[in-house]
Amino acid sequence: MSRTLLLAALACLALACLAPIGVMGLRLAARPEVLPDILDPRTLGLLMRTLRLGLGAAGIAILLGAPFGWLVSRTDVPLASLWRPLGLVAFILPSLLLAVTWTVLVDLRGAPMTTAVMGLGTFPIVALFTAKAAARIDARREEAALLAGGLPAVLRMELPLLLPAILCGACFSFLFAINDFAVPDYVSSVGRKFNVYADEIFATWQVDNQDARAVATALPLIALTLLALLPTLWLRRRGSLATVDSDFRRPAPLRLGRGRWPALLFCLLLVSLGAFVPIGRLLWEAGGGTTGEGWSPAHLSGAFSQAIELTHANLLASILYSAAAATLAAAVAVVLGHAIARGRWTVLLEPLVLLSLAVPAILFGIGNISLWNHTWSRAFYSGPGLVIVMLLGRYLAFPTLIDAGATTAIDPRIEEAAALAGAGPIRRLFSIDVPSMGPAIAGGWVLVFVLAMRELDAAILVPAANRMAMFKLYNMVHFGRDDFVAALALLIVFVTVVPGVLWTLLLGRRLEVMP
Amino acid sequence: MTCRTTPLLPLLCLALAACGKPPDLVVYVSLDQVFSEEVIRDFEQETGLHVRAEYDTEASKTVGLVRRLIEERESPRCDVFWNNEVAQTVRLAELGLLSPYDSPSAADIPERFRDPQRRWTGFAARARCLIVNTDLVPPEQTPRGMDDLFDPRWKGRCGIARPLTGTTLTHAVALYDVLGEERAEAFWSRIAAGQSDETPQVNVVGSNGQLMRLVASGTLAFGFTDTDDFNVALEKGAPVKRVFPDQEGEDPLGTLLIPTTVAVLKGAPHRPAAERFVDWILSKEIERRLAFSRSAQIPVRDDVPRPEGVVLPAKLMDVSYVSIGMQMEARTKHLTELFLRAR
Amino acid sequence: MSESAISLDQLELRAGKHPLLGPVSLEVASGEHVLIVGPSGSGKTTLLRAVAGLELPYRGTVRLFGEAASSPGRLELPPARRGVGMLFQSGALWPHMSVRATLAFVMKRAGFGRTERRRESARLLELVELAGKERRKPATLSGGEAQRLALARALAGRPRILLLDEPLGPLDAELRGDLLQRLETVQAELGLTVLHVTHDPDEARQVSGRTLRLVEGRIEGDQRHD
Repeated sequence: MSRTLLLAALACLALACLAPIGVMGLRLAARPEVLPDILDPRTLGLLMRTLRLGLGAAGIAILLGAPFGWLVSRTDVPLASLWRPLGLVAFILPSLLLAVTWTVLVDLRGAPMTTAVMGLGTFPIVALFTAKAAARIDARREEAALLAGGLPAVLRMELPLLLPAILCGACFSFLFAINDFAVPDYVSSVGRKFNVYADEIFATWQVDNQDARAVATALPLIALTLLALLPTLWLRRRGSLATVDSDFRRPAPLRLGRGRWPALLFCLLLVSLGAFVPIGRLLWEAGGGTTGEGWSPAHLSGAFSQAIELTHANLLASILYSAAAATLAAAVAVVLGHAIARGRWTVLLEPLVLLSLAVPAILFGIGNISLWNHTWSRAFYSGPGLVIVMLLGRYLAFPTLIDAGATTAIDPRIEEAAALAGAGPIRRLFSIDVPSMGPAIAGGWVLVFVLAMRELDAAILVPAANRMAMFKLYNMVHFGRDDFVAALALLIVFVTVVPGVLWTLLLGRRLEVMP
Repeated sequence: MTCRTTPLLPLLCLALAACGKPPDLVVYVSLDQVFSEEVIRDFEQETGLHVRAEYDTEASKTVGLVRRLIEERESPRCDVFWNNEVAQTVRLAELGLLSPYDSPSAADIPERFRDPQRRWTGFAARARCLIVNTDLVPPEQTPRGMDDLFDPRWKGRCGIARPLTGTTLTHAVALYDVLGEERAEAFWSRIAAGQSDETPQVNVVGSNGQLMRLVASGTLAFGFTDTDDFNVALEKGAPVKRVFPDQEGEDPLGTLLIPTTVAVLKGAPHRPAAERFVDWILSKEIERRLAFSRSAQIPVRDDVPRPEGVVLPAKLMDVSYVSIGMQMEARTKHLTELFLRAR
Repeated sequence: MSESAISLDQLELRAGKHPLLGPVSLEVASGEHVLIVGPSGSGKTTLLRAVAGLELPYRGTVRLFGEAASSPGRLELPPARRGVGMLFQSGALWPHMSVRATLAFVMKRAGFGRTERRRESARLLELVELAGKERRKPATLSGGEAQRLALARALAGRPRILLLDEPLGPLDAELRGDLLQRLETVQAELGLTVLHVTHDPDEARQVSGRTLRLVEGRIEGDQRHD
């Protein structure tokens, strides 16, 4: 690895991810006496409840995502290639929109509904990881099991091989669930109240003049998140998520026989729950279904025209910021991912990369203010640059882990051969590794783009992020103009999925998103 | 793409992103974006100044911008803070973040809406009100005040926003101020205690906007919200009516009026433009426009024209905004402990 | 005449429009050891996979012991019910299972009881000389050991037909001779019908029986030798 490139990537990591966290850490270090206060019985109760929510959501995500991922990637379930992308919609939709839809349709509130919504919103991660892992099982291994005992034997043999990926996906599901406070709050607005620990962090920031306590309050959630990510690291390091053999043979779809129809029903049901119903509801609202006039195509097109007219600048800002952050992240992640996969500093570098995922958004946002609000950096602070750096910092971990996984799958001898032929480290990275990592780099790019498009929590603190479409959407949701707000939500979802769809359609290749 | 140009791509992205015209004035606005955006645009058109307005979200009411102002105190970049309520503005004043400015436009604003040291000025107010679903509540059963929340007839069918942010927080702190420690504590504790019930007497929702939607859609029969939220429901044709609470009886408590506030920041980078904006926004004309806008802000000056229905409640709650602001931090901490529990 | 163990009638396989095999017609008697040779891409592995039921015919049929097993676009008998064991090229061992778990996995599905599993497992491990290595996982076995485990796995379900896809490919000369001898012993002992694919002339010379030569998916030669 080129030292210059690595240093540049490390500088980006330090600046975008670590420095904002470090600044907040310094505030805590100045007043360590607040530490013992953070876990009184009340907050401990909230923390335990949040833990249960995370585990419940991860459990649901496994129950739905693992079979779905396996069915669409490895079997002859009808219309598999259609279910596969549609299954992702539940994750692309902001979880609050799922909550809004399902609380209208189902009379269930409180903890069960919150857990269900978070599970439904995050099952695509488990599905994606399962699908990727299942596609990496060598055809002959599967056939050996098929000869031994048919489809049940294949399942029995594959489950342990898929389990690391399933658990890895579940860790991310847990992570998203425990950091969300909008969904629990919304879902329990009627009936028994369901408070979570993220509420506590939010409230502490609001009232506490002493920042040290506010930072300290975030620590248990950071610890919980890191604990959830540790298994991922461990599984990754064991190579459990990587391709197994160099003479890998892609498996053919398994024949489900009579099981095809129940499998089809299961996929249809899941895609309906996560995509068709919420999107249908938004289309219905956008077309005036909730108004006295009733739904009409004219109303629908009017709502879209109005949404575009009022928010085109916001949509454009969102696309530009997200695309820039995704591009920057893709470039930095290739280098960091390679360093993690091949370098000697993996054990140190990996947790550092993951740290920004574990830090609550509000703490990350405030860290960025502290870091960048100076007279000398005013132009940068007020401009889009800071938004891009903040988004980069928040989400760099994802493409880095994906690229590390992809690098692990490349035979090191390929690089060695290039080195013997006289290719330097930069040439090797860009001419040998990067071309074979295309789907992984694109996958990382798309993931950052998607997450950046739906980012709200940290964006409320960074000046120029105010111009993003998601920010506008939330303010409009409050105002309650159902038709064009629904149209805007659909526009955001549409813009969010476009890059991934284009990649798949134009190149006919799937995105790689496995860490 | 060659390997030499690839690393330059991200830098290009950053460079492109850093371009933009510098503003003549920076305003932080916690008034709902949909209402305030038009006003800011009018100011730009009338003055030719380029304003950079930054808004808060409903979900983060006041946390986002107030927190940011506190964080930016070492190197202020905001010139004017236009807040949708008063308590957090008082808090900022107490923290020493605001600079006195006695705007000539504010001369006829009643003294009770102005900071004695002129660090902030209140105008275009909202009132805390009850939004009542007329399909669900017969006229003779119309709730009249805060005690109706505890009427067994409305168990599980009335609500209030969680008093940890926004105007509900101001409302909560105001009750401590006017009712005294014991009665206010009894009121809030009773609501908080019910949260562990399968069907709480009073539902505690995320925000005033959400409460308005729940009542408008018929999920709840009535609840506390702000007049601007009520107006949204009315405009959408929802079957709702507004009741100013606690107006009747002997020595009624009165309705809490919450003025929007405007203040110039200490160390404002564009001070002359900031003063110009404050003069402009405090003018009678703007207060009139805000009264006729979708947010239906209630003018605090008697002689400002207003549409029918945009009226001051007959009996206002007798509060000191400064006192509320001073208590804000300690009370919020207490309310957090009361309302944020795993039950 | 005794019933054929394997009977292929005008069997043809395709990948899209691209022909992979055939048409091929072939009768293999029970207990026969048939060596299939031919250049790379001649359809040797495809033929084995068609017999195992891992590929569907485009045209023609596969019958096993007189029973219809595959017809165009259709599996009459699923792979697990064909009584077939297969040794895959490069082993294809299950990386997460120990030697014992691998064999137990297959035997359980073949309906062996616990005691029978233990006895049969011990016998097989003795046969392939892996006794004492029951707890080892594939990654910790040598190339020869891994290939012998693959053979044991292929035999564990008590198949009537054994399909060998380049079984000696990754081994050195000494190990090849050893494994080949073992194969012949097993075949004689169990009366197995064996289809044995190789592209190595040396390997072909060491095996007695019948040799088929496949070229571009068709049988170009069929001779018996001792």
